Amino acid sequence: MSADAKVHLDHVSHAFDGRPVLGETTLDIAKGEFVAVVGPSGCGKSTLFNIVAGLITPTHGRVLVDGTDITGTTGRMGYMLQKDLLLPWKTVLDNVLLGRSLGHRTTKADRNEALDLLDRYGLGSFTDHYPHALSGGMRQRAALIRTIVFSREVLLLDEPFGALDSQTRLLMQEWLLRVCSEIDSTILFITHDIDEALFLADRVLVMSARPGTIKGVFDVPFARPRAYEQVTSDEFVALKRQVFGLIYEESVRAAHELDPAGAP
Amino acid sequence: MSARPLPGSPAGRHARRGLAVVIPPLVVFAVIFAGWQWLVDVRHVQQFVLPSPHQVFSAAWSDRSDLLSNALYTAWEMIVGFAFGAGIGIVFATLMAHSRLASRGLYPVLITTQTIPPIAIAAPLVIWLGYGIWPKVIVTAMIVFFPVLVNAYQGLTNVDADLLSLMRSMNASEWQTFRHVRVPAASTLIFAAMKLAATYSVIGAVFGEWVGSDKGIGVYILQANSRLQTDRVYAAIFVLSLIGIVAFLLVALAEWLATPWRRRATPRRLFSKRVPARQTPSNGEHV
Repeated sequence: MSADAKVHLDHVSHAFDGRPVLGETTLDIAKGEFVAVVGPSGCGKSTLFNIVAGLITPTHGRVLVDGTDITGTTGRMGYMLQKDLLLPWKTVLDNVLLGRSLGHRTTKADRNEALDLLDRYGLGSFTDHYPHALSGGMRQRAALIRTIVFSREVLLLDEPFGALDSQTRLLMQEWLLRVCSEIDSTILFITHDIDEALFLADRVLVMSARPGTIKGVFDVPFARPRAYEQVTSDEFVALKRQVFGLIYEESVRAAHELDPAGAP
Repeated sequence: MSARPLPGSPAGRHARRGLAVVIPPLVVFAVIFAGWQWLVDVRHVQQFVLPSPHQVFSAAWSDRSDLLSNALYTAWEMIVGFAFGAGIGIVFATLMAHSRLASRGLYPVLITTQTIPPIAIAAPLVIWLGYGIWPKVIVTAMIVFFPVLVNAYQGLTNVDADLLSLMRSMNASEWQTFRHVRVPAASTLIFAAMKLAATYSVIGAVFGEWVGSDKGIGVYILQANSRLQTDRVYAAIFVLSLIGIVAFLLVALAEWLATPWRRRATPRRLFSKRVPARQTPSNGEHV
């Protein structure tokens, strides 16, 4: 384990009812690092995600944050899924403050912090609206702000833009890059979109078919700030080819396990 | 900015929409009453067999003070019975949603109670509790209880699992999840059940009165019927359905007040100051 690891997975593995879903995984995420995880569907990405979030206690291994064992403990990380999960009966501001309000009575400082973030990220005039009055992209931004307000040190994002149309997703990715440059979070980002992973992350992990293990690690060399034109550069395409090759192999294996006759 | 158009429209359009809701049922009622009046007039039906709407309304008017005092008594039985039935239903639903053991133990028992016809239990209730309000309250509560229980339980337990994970990830206690997530999520189903139950509660109160009472619209019907005062019977039925409609509308009003997020873009704040709508900075891009 390297000294500056913010999050450290120590020989973590997990089985549901004796059936292994996550093979032994050891991983260091440095402070401020953006790590993306890609892999075939059903490879245990979400299990890994829930273990880091503390929602699942792994069968073996430990999860450490700043050297402290937090295995199976919730409340240490910001957690965001593909669904925005905004509560329809709370205003945008109250949704953003939800995590804070669970711990203690929200103070004026909490409110101001939330209002500042909403302001800075273009939701300033919607703080008093119910979520149904917002567009999909705005709702997803509100959800990310809720995540940051709850805990900005480590953010766990599981396909946060997966349900958006491709143009909105592109804008949201660029927006996330901007947010990342402004807050000093350590991010674990799960996606099935290789472009998205390479565009956003410092490091891309490719997971194998079930039981999932880390099959390959790719450092993404592109300097920040990144612009979307880079995704068509030769360098980007070459890296994408490598990642894609590895995932394709694993996807075929995964499909073959599910349906031996159908896979190529 | 691709925000959806906000609900809440100019007063004129609001009023027109209101009329569009009110007028069609009024027309249907008018047609039914006109047909009924015509039938009685043309076929010369005897009043004790089927009184005309005109006869019913004049009977109701001439006997209005008696009808009113009986109606108030029946309405009171309904209100108390409804409060008990709905309250107990929600308490049991909460208990069952909270504990799997409770739901396994209680659900079959509670379903069994529904196989007892309320009219059958009403008679022994009178033996135990006398001619007062309580037998009617209990029969009404028994009728109200079940739909509220089933829907509240369904609503409290059938919550998006991801939402529960989110709450857990934020260290929410069971009580906080219940208050912030489960109850508002269940509100649609609970109010739907209570609307149903409010109209059913008329049946409970009248059943209870038929078995043994000296007051109430049910008693009024029995007395008028035994004297072949059919116009009064119909007048009482008319009052009962009026009570049922008012009960339904009261629950609908409660729902309207309790769930502002379904019809408004922003909450109406009566007591606290509105959050000032700040200007979006010019660099804030809109997705």
